[in-house]
Amino acid sequence: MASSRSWRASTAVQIVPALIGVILFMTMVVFTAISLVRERERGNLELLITTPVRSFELMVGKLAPYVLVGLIQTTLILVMGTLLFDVPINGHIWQLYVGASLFIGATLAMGLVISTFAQTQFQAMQLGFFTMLPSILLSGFLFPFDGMPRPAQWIAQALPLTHFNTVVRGVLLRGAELGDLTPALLKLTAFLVVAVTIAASRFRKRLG
Amino acid sequence: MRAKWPATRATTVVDLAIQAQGLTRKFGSVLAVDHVSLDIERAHIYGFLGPNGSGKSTTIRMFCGLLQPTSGTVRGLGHDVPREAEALRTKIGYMTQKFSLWDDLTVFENLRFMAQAFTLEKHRSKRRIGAVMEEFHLRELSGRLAGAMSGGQRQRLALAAATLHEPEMLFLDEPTSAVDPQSRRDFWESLFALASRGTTILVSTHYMDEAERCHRLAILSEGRVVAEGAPEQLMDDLPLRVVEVQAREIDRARQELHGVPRVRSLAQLGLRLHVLVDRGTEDAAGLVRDQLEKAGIDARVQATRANLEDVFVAATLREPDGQARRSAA
Repeated sequence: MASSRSWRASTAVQIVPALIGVILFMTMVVFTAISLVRERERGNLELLITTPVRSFELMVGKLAPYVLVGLIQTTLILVMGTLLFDVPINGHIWQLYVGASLFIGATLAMGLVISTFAQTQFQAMQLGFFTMLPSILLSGFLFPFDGMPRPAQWIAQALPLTHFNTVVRGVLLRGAELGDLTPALLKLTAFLVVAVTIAASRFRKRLG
Repeated sequence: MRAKWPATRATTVVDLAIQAQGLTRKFGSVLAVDHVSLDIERAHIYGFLGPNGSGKSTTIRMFCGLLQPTSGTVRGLGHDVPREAEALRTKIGYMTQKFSLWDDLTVFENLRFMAQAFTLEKHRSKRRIGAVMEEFHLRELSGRLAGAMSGGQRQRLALAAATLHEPEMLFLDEPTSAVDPQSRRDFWESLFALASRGTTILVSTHYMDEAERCHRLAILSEGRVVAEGAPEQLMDDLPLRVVEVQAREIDRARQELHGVPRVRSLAQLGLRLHVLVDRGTEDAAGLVRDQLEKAGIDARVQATRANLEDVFVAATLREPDGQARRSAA
């Protein structure tokens, strides 16, 4: 009885923090991609690009609300995790929010990139899932990172979720210092920069 | 372009809103717009008449800098397009073919958002939203969701939004395709009011009666301008003769005349038949009458004035070698 309970507790403590990243990833990538493609389908975008609104403003305007949504989601999961599943917060919580902000930015930009490829909402959803599954499977959420074959580890290195999970587990479970987290935070920053650059270069105020 | 239009041109009486030269756009191997050259005078209502796929929308999109031309040049309100498209954007209003405001915003919210998008300052924004709601009878619909309105109401909202920033030029892409006849009449009243206040309007349509209301008109077919001029002038200059046939056996008359040499086209209007005959024919009505008498069909045959539909049919007729006919107008 006691061992089963502690097993459950430790599983929850492993899984709930990682859920922050998974849930953020699912909502940020798929929601942005779909919401932008829907605007294109409905013709809203065609109207918007005839106004003096700049591409940059359009992009920021589309993404800003989701940043807020993402931070609220993060907070909700943290509150539920500590209240219901006894997830500890051993480190500095602001470090987690720094990581979350970078991760949200990177995933939103990915969603934006997807929206520039997809013609319909259905395609956007498919592309969203296409990026989501490897992230969930390889980021250390389901399987321990060190136990994975080498090639899978390389792929995992190229996924922002892997590094965000490092930050989350570091802050919550290990109480890691900022110095420990710097490599992961830098990698997240790199993802953010690359994704925003690709998104900005593809998201232009032209129809063709 | 500079060489072709020396500086003196700017001081001539004709003030041009749009000058297009050899405008061409390809989508892959498809030629959507093929060397379109035309001038649009300021404060005129200029019509694009053509079937679906004739290149109307593509041309309009190139005029407002939404699409890059494959070749050719456009000057819009004194700006090179698309290079200076951003400067042009504050001076134009664009109404898309499909209703493209937000269904889940109210009339007022849509207008307020568009005012912000056009960076109207607060005081002006308030004044203009009030003015367009008055002009387009939207006041009592102010709190209604755009998604819950009828075709005519949405179209009024779309025009209100497009004129919010008092643009010098309006581009309307098939604005009346989803509205009832009464709304269409009201809509055109609004357009005339706008033009009389100096707004240049480019409107595309596939309705003949709407095309006839324009000051000037270009007929597009397969990406080319096949006829251009004032509607009256186009009807007068039609390079074919029009013969009207009234007969009870209208179907048989039609069959008899089909394929007769020098008869270029037949179009039925209820119990009447419009027969287009080569201009070279001395007595076009006689030719048709003889043909029908030979077949024993009792018919009233008379030469008549061309209407816009005849012009359209003639302009889009294909020559035997498959080339669309270039109008002499």
